[in-house]
Amino acid sequence: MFNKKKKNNKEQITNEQTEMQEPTKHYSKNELKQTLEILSKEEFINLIKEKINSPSDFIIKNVTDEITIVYIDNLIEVKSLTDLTIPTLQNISDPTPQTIKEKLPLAQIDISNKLDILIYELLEGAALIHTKENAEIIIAKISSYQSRGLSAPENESQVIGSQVGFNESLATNISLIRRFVTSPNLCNEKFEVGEDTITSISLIYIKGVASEEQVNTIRQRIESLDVSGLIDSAILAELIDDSSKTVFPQMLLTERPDRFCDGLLSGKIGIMMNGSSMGIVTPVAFIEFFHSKEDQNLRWQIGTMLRLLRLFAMIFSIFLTPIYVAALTYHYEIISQTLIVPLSESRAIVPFPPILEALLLELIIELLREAGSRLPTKVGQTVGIVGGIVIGTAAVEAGITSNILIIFVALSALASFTTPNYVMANIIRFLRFPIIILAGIWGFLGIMLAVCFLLIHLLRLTSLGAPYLAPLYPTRLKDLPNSLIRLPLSIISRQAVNTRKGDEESTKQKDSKKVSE
Amino acid sequence: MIKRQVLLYYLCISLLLFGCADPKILERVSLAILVGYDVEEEDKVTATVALRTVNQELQSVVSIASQTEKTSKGTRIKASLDSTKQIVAGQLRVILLGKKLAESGINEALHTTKMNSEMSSGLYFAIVDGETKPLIEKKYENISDIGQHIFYLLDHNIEEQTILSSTLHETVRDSYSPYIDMALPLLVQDEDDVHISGLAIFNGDKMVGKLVGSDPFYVVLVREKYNAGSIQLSIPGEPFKNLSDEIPDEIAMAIDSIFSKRKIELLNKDTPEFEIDVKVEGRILEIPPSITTEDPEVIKKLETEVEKKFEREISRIIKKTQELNSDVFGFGEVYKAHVGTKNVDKKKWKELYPTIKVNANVTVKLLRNGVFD
Repeated sequence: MFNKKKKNNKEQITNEQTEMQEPTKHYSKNELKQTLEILSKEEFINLIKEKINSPSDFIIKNVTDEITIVYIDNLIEVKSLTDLTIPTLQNISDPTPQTIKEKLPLAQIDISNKLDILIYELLEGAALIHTKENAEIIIAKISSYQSRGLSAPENESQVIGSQVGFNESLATNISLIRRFVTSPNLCNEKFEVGEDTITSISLIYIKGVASEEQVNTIRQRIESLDVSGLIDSAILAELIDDSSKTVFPQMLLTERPDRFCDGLLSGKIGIMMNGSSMGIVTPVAFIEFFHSKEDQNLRWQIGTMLRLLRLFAMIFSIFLTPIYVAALTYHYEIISQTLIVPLSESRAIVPFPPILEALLLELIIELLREAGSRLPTKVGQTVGIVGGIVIGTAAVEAGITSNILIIFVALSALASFTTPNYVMANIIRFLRFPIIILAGIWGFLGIMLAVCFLLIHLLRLTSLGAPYLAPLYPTRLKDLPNSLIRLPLSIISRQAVNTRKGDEESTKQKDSKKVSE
Repeated sequence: MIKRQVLLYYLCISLLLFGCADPKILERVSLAILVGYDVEEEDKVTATVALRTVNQELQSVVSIASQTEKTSKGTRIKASLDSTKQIVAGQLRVILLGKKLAESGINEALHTTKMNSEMSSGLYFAIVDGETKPLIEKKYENISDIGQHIFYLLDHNIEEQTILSSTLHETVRDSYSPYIDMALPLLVQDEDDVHISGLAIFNGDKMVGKLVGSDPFYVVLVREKYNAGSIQLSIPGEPFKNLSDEIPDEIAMAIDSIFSKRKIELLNKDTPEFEIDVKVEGRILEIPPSITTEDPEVIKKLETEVEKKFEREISRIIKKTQELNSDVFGFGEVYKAHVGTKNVDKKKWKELYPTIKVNANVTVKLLRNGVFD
């Protein structure tokens, strides 16, 4: 089922790509799979040039009569080329690939006569060294990778805890992870995905803790990916998750190494991608999107309070405006007597029915948020002032909306920002709109309809085969202490039941127990 | 898969075809807060409604509408003809019934109220000693919203257990049971005020009398548990004469923080004879200074005197209800529990009730006596 879907997906993507490209010079991997024979200097240069469409930054350097170096400018580290490689090469009397490999003072050197490997390495930032009368070419990997330094995670900042975030370099990120988890059982499987981007992907898990079955599933999904390019891990997560129709993310994106490693320790599988500062953690349950790493760094009472607060904020944020609409349109009976006077007084000159009023205000808030998030910080502040003070006050004075609704809408917007995960926070804001419309059409009946639909939908969702609403349903008693609440660490079990090993092993254990009995 | 999708589309379309529910947007309706029913000649009912509406000046105003018609719904339809906004009853808090109507039977009023799904089961019933129309229509100097005023008046008194609770739910329950009679709060209109005077007691659905003054206290004492009641009473001064010369003949005292428990037991099925055991704990709030409450002996004496007073009062009120044949205490429920529903029906219990014997047995404990000792 899954494979089929992915294949369709792939075909679509590749078709689009070929249509867009010019049909002439395009080499597939198979065409490049040829073995080089002994070539002269000119022949070699021409062959490489032809295969990579003779770019302007292709540089040829003749070191001696026998040795030629080709590389792509800016991709290599010039210092190690001029200071280390060229002087050494000049002093070699007997230039065969083997001797050069031994004598070059570089960490990574390969020898190959496969054209596809050569081209790939050249484009990755290696210098190819051609020697006279040898078919094999030396690959000196002296690539320079421009990456920014490690900085604090901006989207998932926290007060207590490590202040380092992933950056865009896969190597750096993996070294960060290895600093947290030094275990020899930490597995790092490498994949290359994307016909054009050839992006490196690392599948990271702790052997013996992560479920083999889930590792196999994710490995198979990555291997069967056939896309022309991958730019960010968010796209990767969408391509390999269980259901792409739902709004709910089934994989957690995090830029925090500590959170990533925490997942690994509890048996989850991590995926890192070159060029993306977000790591993927899977499988995750719905509740975990409302967790922050900080909950665990604080005392358990405070952690519990924060988690419950966020959960309350989520429900509050989704249902406050719909309840306002439903109560004012259909169910005036439920409004308490003390509230009914101020409510009706503030609504008295509003010309719209409550549903239009609520939709209008929610729309204004979304506009403000979107405008604020896309603008530079300095202008963003101005937008906040214009939106909050000018539009808010003027709208009430002009009689377009009621005071009380403004408070409700602002409160529910504020509440939605308490969700620590940006993706989930967006979904919570988005969910409000259909529920407001349903509340405006059928009142509480409509809200209940939406609740039922949401619950059924969430119950049907899985993350890598694990139930999405666990540990609430199916109830996993062992995981409950670390779900809605956070109990002391001595009570929390380290391994989440969601990621427990396959049934085989557990049955084996049971059998062995029986035998021992 | 395709079938399921088609089904889904059908479902969506049918949901849309349901159309909207009938909207009652808050500021576009008139909310009835208080309704009073009076009986008129020729079987007609006059309904007087206190309505809350919001006008364009952003003020919420209370208006009164009154109509006479054969059914209460009929009065509502007629009142709608006068009103600029639809009249809705979902916020109704209190239903007042005139004395005349109560004496001729309130079953019809109860029935129409509980038939209406809009109405909250927590709304209060009360009887007006007189007519409801003048009570509602009068412009009081200190009351801006008569509906809210009467609601709060009843609400806090019920909360403090000075009268019996009379929500729609409880009133209907009592009216359904053949073994207990209703006792509803009784309101009286004054010169420039409305106040609770006591309880109106019923025989079946007809009002037969009233209990005023401190009588409702004893009804609550026998029927319910007190959590924090209070009472002012007077006991004879005779036993305390030895304490001081200043002891009056009647000692007025107030007790509050009353906690009580009561138990009704059937002693004899044939007579029938009942025993009421009431345990009261309370705090002396006020007493003449000449009575030295520091002395445990005096406290003991006080307790005995209060017990005697309580027993006397309970017996007196029971006798009164027996004369009116109104079992507001629910002795019938106890009796039924012992002999079974087969052996006693409404008619039989009504015949039995005036003949029952009740022994009241009260134990009073005065726990504290103020802040000073």
